[in-house]
Amino acid sequence: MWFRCRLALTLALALVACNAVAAQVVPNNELQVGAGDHLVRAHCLVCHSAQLIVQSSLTRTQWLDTIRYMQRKHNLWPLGDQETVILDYLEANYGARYQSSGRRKNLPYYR
Amino acid sequence: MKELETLSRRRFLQNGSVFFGASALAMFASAESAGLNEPPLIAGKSGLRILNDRPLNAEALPHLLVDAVTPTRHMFIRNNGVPPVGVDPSGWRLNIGGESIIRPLRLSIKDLRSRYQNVSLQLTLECGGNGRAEFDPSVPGNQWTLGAVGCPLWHGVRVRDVLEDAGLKNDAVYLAFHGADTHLSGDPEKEVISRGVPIEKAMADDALIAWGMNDGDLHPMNGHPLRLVVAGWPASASGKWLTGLSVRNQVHDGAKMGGQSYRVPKNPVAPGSVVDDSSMKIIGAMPVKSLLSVPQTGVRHDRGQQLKVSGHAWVGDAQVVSVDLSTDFGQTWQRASLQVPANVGAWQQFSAALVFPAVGYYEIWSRATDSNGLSQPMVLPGWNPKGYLNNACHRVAVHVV
Repeated sequence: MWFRCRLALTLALALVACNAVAAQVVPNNELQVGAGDHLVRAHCLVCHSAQLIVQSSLTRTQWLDTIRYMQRKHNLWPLGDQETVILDYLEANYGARYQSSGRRKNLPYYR
Repeated sequence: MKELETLSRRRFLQNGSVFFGASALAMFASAESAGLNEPPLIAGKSGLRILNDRPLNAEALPHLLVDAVTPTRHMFIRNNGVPPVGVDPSGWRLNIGGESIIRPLRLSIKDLRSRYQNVSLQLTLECGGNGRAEFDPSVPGNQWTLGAVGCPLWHGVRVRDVLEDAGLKNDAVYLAFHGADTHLSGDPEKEVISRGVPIEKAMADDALIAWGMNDGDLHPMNGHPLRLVVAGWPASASGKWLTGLSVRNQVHDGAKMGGQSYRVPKNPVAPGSVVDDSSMKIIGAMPVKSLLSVPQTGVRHDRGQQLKVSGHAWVGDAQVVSVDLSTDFGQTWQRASLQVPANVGAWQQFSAALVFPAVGYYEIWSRATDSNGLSQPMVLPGWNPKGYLNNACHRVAVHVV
């Protein structure tokens, strides 16, 4: 049941993604492939989707704070030695992005 | 009352899959009937950009927020946990209690409808984190851009009428809500979110216990069958799937009241600062803000024509007194015409007709000013660790040809 529905969902997402005027815009829900991605899957995606990670760009300190917050408030277990690997992965793939100037970002041109 | 069963993690996964699976299948049927090439992924919703599907968080595309009364399908979704399933409105009960209540009450929705004055009000709800995506350095959480705001017509009763019926003790400080959503981890002991507002705000005209929005029931993702709607405060103060209200004799200490959640530094901090919990304060009324819903950013416009521009402006616990527009990056401003709110707590509509001196690239900036004399800043105001309260002026791009 679960896998069949997952298939339906995947199809739905794919259809929406292909539709240029899609009413509901669905962002990427896949983690970057990289060392440690399996640990993020195992420890983080049990409770929430990858989208919560994929849409972030944080410093290593912010990622560690986020892990601590998840442990303090949301039942994430101790990560042991794997914590460093997870932090390496998050920093490498979803690290801080600073804007280069004082001006606000250029508006996206979509039309 | 039919008690909502606590979901084990396994059940939660199954229900999650049923929800999305059913929606995915329903899309094939509804795409044609809707007359749009836009299959809804969430039944009863369209025009939303999904930020996160677990927990579900989705915001409206700004150019679709054209209506003065936000249609249910375009009202944003901010879930912290797993919404209840198998909701039975006739069996739903709301418990009124807490240290500062004299006579605790247990009310059905029928009780609410029959015992208290029914009111329909247009009330603005905006997520405290709307605009978070612009933070630099960026901060954790759903990266809301512009569309975590809306102003539907809500149907319900005033919180004040219910609390007065239950009787308030003199030491009442804070109204807290409790909801039927369950924690993402599946832990039945954990409350997902239990916030609220100071008792003074709870007793105001624009605080409702609502069972309906627009022409129907609440949407399941917007709190069906019962929710709190407290206008002008972070929408997290307006609990969904409402099962309880507690009047506390202290500032409420429920889930997402303390720490860094829905709190900002007491004193301004440099961008990127680490701020200790003890130096943070709870967010109160939301700051003045505006949204240009017409035109859509990126529009091509003929120089010989006037460009009709319109949108909404809002502020918590005050009124918008003017909206100014600039087409030259803030060097000059022209006043838009502005309507009064439909009622206290509703957003206000502004409009103008703009002309452009030459072909080329322009941005329209909108800047609202409130009855306290506060205006929207041009740049991101007051960086804070969790990315709240970005009320920088809205910008849309125009290519004049």
